[in-house]
Amino acid sequence: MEKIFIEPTRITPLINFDPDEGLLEMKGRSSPENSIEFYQKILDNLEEYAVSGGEQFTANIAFEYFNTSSSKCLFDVFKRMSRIEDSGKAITINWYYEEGDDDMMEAGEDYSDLLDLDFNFREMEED
Amino acid sequence: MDKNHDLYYDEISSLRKFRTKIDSHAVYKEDLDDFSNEYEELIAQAKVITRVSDRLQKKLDNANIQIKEQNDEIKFKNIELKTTIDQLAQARVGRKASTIMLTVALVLFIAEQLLLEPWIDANIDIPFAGLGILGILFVVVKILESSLEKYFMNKEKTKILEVEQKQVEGWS
Repeated sequence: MEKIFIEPTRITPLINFDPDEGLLEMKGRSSPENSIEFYQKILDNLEEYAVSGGEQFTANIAFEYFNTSSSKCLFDVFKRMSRIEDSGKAITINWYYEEGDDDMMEAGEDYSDLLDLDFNFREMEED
Repeated sequence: MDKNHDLYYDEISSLRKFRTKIDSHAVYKEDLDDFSNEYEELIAQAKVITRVSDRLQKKLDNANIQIKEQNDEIKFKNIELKTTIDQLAQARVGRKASTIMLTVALVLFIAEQLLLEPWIDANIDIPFAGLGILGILFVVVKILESSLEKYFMNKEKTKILEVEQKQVEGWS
């Protein structure tokens, strides 16, 4: 497992994965040219975290927008988190969405329902 | 098939493994359970992806409607702006033509009074002949004024077209 930090761009989100802290942050817009290539490293690290990571895991997710293929990758990310939870670790998922962005909130609800994960929904004030 | 490039790498791998088991007639209940679980998960994925896509399409559709409305408004404002510019140009050109013609009329009036009027008084015995000539001069000046106005208006339009042409060339 390694620390991952990816600066955000116009089409890719900020990624900050710190296995020592048990923290994953994803923030911004996600419509990469190749979504799976972008998310694969995170998926592999989460897979490993379920086996050999710490006892606490926190995910802070704050997307403004993500495209269809990113939504599939996010499903895979949450599936890995579900595995982390199944391995007996305490997991906290904070789903941030902009004030009034009901669509983004509902997307979080979909992931939460379908993967049976508890999300903390937090509204952010617009800049 | 490449793990880093295929979005459905895991799902396709599972399907291939299961098909291999079918082909080798080695399918156990456990395999069927695993496969049905994976199928269930695939349905869950399809559900979430469809919902997300629907939301994106809805956003896109709303944005398109908004853009169309804004375009219509811009077109309407452009027409209004063009009309106002035309009116302003018309007023400016009208003022210019009136000033020129007023000067011409004044020169003609002074010339008529100083040169023509004494000659008429001395040589023509028609009552109000001088007044008649002044009337004719007034009509001629009025006709000239509208012709001058048209000439200046055409000149103004050519100038605007030239400016627009230069702007277009600057953009391209």
